[in-house]
Amino acid sequence: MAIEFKNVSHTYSEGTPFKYTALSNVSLNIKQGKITAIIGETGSGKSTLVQHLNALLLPNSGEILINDKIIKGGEKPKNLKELRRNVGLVFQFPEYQLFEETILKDVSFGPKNFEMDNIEERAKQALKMVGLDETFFERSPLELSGGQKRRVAIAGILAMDPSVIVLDEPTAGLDPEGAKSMMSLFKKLNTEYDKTIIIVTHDMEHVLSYCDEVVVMSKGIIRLTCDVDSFFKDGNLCRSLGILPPNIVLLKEMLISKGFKLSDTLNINDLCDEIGRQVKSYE
Amino acid sequence: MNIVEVKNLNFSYEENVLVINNVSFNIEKGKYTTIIGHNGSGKSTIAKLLIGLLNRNDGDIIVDGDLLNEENLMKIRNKVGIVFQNPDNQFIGSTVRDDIAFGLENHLVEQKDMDKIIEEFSSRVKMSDYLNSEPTRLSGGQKQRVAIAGVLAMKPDIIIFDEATSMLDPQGKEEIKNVIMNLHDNENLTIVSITHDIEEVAKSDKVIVLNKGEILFEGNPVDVMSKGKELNDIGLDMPYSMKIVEELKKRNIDIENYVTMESLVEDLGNRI
Repeated sequence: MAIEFKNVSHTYSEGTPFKYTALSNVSLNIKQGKITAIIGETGSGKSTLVQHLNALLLPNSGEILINDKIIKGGEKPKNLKELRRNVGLVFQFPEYQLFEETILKDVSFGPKNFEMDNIEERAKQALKMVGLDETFFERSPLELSGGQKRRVAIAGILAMDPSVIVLDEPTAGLDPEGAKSMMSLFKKLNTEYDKTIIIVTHDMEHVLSYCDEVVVMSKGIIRLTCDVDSFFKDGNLCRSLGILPPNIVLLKEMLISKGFKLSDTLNINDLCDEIGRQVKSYE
Repeated sequence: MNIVEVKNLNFSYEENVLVINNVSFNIEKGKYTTIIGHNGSGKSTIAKLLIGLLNRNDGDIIVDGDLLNEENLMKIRNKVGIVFQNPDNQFIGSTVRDDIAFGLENHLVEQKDMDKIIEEFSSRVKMSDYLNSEPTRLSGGQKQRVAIAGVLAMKPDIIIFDEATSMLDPQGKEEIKNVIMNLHDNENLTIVSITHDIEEVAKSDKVIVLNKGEILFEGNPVDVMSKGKELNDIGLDMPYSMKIVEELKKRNIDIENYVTMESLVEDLGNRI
């Protein structure tokens, strides 16, 4: 499913003293079947951008093409139901939105709302996809740990069988292990279930380890779009965009300044092979 | 000298489920102590017990020589400040100035002294240009700095940071970590920081590792971080330099444990 933004602008509170332009003239292609990271400082427009993906926010001008649906600035779009089922949006701290008595009921809410068939089957399948087996089905969502609750909330989106899943800072507040297993889940949804994944994140280690493409935003505009490997090849590119490069990039820079000769690799094993070989050659 | 002594501390939210299980530790005056553990390990519960927001089942908490009990509660709270995780939940005033003033007003500080104190402490956290700003105009990092100024204005001996950086973006995290480091280095404050940030732990004087309400390790960061795999097993990360050290050891390189990238690179640089 192609997602394309053409000259999209969004202004909050237009016509009031609080008028604030959060997106200005944004053009962007998001690749199908990939994991795309959207990065940029707080207030750069990331959350505003992703809320356009299922028409929760509408552009003031420009147009957005999502699959065969076109949303034009200034026009009230009709029949958004299919778009909203097909593009699942997971907000920050989605666990606060759980409300049903049992986990299975909570996850069934979406498919029921969209009048889908085999609701219970879909909900069970979605829970299994996020790693929660049948022992969880009848429990209250409120009994779970933070990370588990978040998985239930994500299952609630998956149960609608979207082809695109958009997540706004999905690892915020989780401990490092919880964050890693959450990111692995998205990788699995991408590789095994063919979902297009769009993640708003501040964590460059996650971008490096789990994502394919990166979109850098600043002050409501797109500063750069490129693939992750090219993005991190040179730490100065990150810095010029106000982003602290991931550890491996920093380490390589420091080693090179001490005289190490290193390749372009961003893989820790390859890097340690190279360091090891050079250290041994001097022993 | 120990400014905090915790002896055989037990706590449970519900009967028979100990969230803190026979925990004993000391906090040295003027030192920077970090407490780490996965979510649910009891870290934040300990912070709340230390300032008497929760009441322990049994055990002793002694702060600056005084046993924490009902009688000493206010005395101890005047010595221990705390900064919480969520920047929005602790901003009470309608402007930065009002927010810092809130604690001072509660302590009946006179108006004529108040302005001076507010200016002094807001400049310590580099927020003096924002005294009349409303919270909606501030970033998360700026709000946390205001919270720190409010705590500092109470002139505490100890400040507890309860995951004070975890909801901030990378820039905000750096700002707050620098403020904390500065308080430790230049103001001789005792710092207790509950954190997930392993690079912050590497820079502290002492680290306490909690797992399921018990202390698993405590000591200097190099010794504790050298436990590598055991930390991984309880869901904690290692500093990046330690991951490299372990990889190099697998490749038969004889190298000691380093918890900062600088020290690791220094060593490697001397070998070629």
